Amino acid sequence: MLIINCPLCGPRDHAEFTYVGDATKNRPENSDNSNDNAWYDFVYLRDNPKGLHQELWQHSFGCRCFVKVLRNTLTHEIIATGMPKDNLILKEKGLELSV
Amino acid sequence: MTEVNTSKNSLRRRSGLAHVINYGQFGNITLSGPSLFICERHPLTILQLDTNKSKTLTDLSNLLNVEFPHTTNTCKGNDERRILWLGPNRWLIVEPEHGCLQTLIKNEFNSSEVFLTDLSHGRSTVRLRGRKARDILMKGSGVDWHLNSFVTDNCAHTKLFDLAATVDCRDIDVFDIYIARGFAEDFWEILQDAAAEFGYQVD
Ligand SMILES: [Zn+2]
Repeated sequence: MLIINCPLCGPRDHAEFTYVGDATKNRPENSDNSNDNAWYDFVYLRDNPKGLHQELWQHSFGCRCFVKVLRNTLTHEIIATGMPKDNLILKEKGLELSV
Repeated sequence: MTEVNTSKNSLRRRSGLAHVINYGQFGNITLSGPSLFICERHPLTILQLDTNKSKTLTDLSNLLNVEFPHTTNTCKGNDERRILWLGPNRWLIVEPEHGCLQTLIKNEFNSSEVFLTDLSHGRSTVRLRGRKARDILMKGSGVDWHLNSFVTDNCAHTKLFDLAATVDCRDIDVFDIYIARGFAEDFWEILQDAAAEFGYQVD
């Protein structure tokens, strides 16, 4: 059982949340053809990191907000949560990405 | 061909629980009587309201005579009308059904500033009351229901017995639970099972 600390609602069971995906991917600036590679990367390419990973979850049974979660994919430990704009790696001083 | 009856009576809102509710005392009733009281609140007007304009909110507060709660997971209101915080810029307005609240708001505000969704037909409301009410909530959801954490005028949107539910703390041991009407019968049965060990009365 994972407990995710929603920045608005407080600690809640992970069953209240829907997994959205990798939070490190940024939407490309332009949608014209010149940017095809960037779009291919944004839509399809995902890393499979072992260790710390920033991901988005939606609190779909609660406030319906998107929540950024810093999770260790090896141990399932949830190290930090925040709003989607937050950089949780920088927030958690002393922690570095293992990959 | 049967004639369509358009009299006001036939349009009265029907309860989603009326056919499953049995009134009386059930379960493990001790000498001190039931420690839990369950009843349905019906009919209610339930509106979801979305707006991101603070001026509109102030005007709405004046119209409805109730302030809008801005603190997450809290409610404001009186015995009649309640406003629950649902999420950022989103609230739930609840009151016993008499007039048409939706029309009242729509007459004063245009649809580009206030977005209204009428949920009155889609929700069933159950009131839990008594010293074991929190124990029932604890059985169904991992939210911190302790009386120091979940106090009067707090609300929570959560999964209660695996069903999407909104819980409004009306008083220290009084809770209004809003559940999707389609799951109300299911919820009612789960509630009877959960309450049996405490002894409960259906009013
Ligand atoms: Zn939340």
